Amino acid sequence: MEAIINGVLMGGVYGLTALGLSLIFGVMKVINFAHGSHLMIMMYVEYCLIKSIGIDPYLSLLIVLPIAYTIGYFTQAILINPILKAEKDVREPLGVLLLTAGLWIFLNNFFLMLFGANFKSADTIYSNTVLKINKMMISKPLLYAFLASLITTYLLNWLLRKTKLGKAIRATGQDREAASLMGINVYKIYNIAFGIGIAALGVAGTILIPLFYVHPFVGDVFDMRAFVIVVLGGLGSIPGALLGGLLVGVIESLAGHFLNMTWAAAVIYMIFLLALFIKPSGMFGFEKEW
Amino acid sequence: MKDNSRGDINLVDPNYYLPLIALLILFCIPLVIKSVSWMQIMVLILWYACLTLSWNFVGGFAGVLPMGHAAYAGVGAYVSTLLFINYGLTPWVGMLIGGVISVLVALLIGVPTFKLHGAYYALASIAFVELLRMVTENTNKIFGIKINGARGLLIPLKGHSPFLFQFGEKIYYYYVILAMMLLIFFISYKIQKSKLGYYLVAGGEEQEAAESLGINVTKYKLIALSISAFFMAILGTFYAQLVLFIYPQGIMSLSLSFEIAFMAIIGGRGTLMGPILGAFTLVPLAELSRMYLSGSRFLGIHLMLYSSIIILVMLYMPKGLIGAFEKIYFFFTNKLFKKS
Amino acid sequence: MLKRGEKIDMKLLTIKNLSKRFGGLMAVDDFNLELKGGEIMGLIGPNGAGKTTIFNLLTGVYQPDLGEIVFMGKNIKNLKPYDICFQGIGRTFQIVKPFLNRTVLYNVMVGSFLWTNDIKKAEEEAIEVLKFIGLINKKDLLGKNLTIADRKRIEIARALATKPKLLLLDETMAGLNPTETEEAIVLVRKMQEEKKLTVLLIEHVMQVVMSLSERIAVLNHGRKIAEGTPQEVSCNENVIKAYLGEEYVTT
Repeated sequence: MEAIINGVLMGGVYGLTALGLSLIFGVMKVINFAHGSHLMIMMYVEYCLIKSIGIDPYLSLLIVLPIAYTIGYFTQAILINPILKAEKDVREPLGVLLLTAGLWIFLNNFFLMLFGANFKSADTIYSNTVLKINKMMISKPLLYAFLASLITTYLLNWLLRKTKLGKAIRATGQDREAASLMGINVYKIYNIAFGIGIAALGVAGTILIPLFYVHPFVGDVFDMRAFVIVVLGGLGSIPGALLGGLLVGVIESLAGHFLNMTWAAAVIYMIFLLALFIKPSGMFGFEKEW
Repeated sequence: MKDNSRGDINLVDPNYYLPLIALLILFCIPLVIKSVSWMQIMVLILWYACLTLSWNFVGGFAGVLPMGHAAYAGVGAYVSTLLFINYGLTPWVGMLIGGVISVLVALLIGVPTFKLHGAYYALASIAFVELLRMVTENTNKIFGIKINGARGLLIPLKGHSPFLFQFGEKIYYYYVILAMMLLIFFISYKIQKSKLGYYLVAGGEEQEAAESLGINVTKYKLIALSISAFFMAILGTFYAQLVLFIYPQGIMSLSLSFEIAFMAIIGGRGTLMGPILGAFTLVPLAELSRMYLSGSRFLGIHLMLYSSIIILVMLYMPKGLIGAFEKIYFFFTNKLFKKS
Repeated sequence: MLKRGEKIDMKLLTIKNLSKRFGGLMAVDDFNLELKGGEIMGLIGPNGAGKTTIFNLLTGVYQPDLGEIVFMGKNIKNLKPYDICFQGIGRTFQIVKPFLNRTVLYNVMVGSFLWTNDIKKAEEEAIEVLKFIGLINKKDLLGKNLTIADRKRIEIARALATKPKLLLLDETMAGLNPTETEEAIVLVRKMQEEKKLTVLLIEHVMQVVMSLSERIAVLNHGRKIAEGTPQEVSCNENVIKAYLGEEYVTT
């Protein structure tokens, strides 16, 4: 039972990390392989902030979010947009795929060079605190993280559905040409969407600090989970990402409980492959050519 | 390489003698270089060239992006090594068996994955190699045969025993891998100028149109994949016999898969010389950087190099270095040709 | 050589009760057609009438929900697209799909490889087709450097190289200027006469359909609303209603 709850909580967090990926794919049809690396960067940023200013992670969001957004915005503007423009007419823009794959490897190893391979951790007031319900031990930071994830998901969903910007983003995602005919600057929207996606990672990075060690490859674990979630939940669907996250979280937790942690990871991958073979568009995604 | 439109062998034509000279140089290198570490680098360069050429069958000719291709090398390495350790079967034969098994695995994974579009296919291939690695790392014994999980397998040292695919000096390994590279190159060349080659290109560029012209695209992609997987397995065995130690993170890893893909693409995917060019330029770069920058912080320096170059290539030279290389090559051959 | 009025008296293609549903929409509804060998037949109808869907059903891209398709005496309903090509049906696409990064010759050779495994033979056959179509001077140009009109001609050339008996042309004349259109019309007639091809063409350019087709079938909302000679069809009440609206029907 405890495993299930932990799974749900962790799953919420996974869902949060997948949100950005889902959004980016939904809008630009780009699978950002470097997603995990961006999460890693956000965690390092957060870590540095805590170590230098000693600020509480949740407060630091005020600083982190703009940084995250800027990083995302410019990654898209400088690196990805040029290739998207060049491959405008090609049905499958593989150049972007390769670019993000290269970015992934580059960022990971670059940070390895900068910070070394040591696992770092930053302690906050409530790291390692635990909530006891009945006979179950639930980690408080995890609970807070879960709540933060829910709130962020809700906010993002509201942004996409109710605001003008959100509608512009969704319009661009559905039909790029129609959107540009309506006066939407498609590439600017891409920048914004990417920025928002990375901002979501900024939140994720912040809430994960009390829970995980920070090291250059920490992002990879979340990266693969995020891909699985996005495929299960449907590319481009925000609620789908959260639900997919919960599913993955629970499965992983149960598998870890009955088998061991490394087999749990293998189980996730197997489910991923099965999901890809059976229904590439996921549970809630758009039925598109992809 | 440019086709000689004249059709007959003209020894004065630089298109013929330049490649021959290059070949001669390659043959003579071991006779000139005596340092063991440099020989090791040369062997690795050729090994990577073979890997990229094999990758190219699928990633270049067939137009898909396999990003987890090292899985097949891993299968080959493990099969031949296990057969050798447990049954004393010489790796020369074990290599071929590994190849066959690798092809079977490839078909198994190929049939469902070829239905997927570009990025999904890449994701699936990544998931597959990681899954394979994780399963191998967590398994100590399969059907009673010891696999040793993450600790890997040591190939028993037999000294200089050519029949057991072990050599005392690097020079033998060099010629073996050189022969393999020429073989794979030759097969690439033949395929490119054959029905298979044309059909793969067609299926890769416009699948619907290709099918309307009578091409069973999936069948041809599977053929390309099988050829590729077979050679990857053989190369896996070669590596096992070269370093005499294999472990999952080393041979069936995502980073090796990415290295191969990046090299082939930086060189020029889909071309004949592109992958070779990629290997010949990037491997020395990586080895040199490894020599001068050591320490745990720089473990990933070669990966940083490859990935930063691929980012640049994707932004500025999507067709790969081969484009620039060809211009220089034609410039020289035209000058030489005019002289003769 | 087949003269314009002469037909092989054989039913080449028989379509019976063909139906296809997409979700809630009946894209093709109980469609029937008979094509005789050697004739040119037009398939017209307002946008969204289901014409390209019929082509896709004929070529195995979609599976029909109901109905039969018999080609040269063989039931081809469930065959895959590449098998259908092998049976002798070729097609072009509404949005042309040339192999952009390859030469014209390469493009056509892909077609001619259907009947040979030898690269030299494939090249020879491809050159023959290019001469027939009139693209031989451009054989070394890359697909992406061709004009729209030439891209459409490569599509046809490629399909021709597979030696079809029935050619399905999907809006081949769209976007062509008057000269190019004339050339295309001449080409289609040439294919019928010299290659003994049967042609089924989807067209919106009325002048072309009327002058080329010996018979025309009209589709609206997935159903056939008229069939006959160009004369008969252009006077047909239902056809006028479908295209122009009730007001234009004169009794």
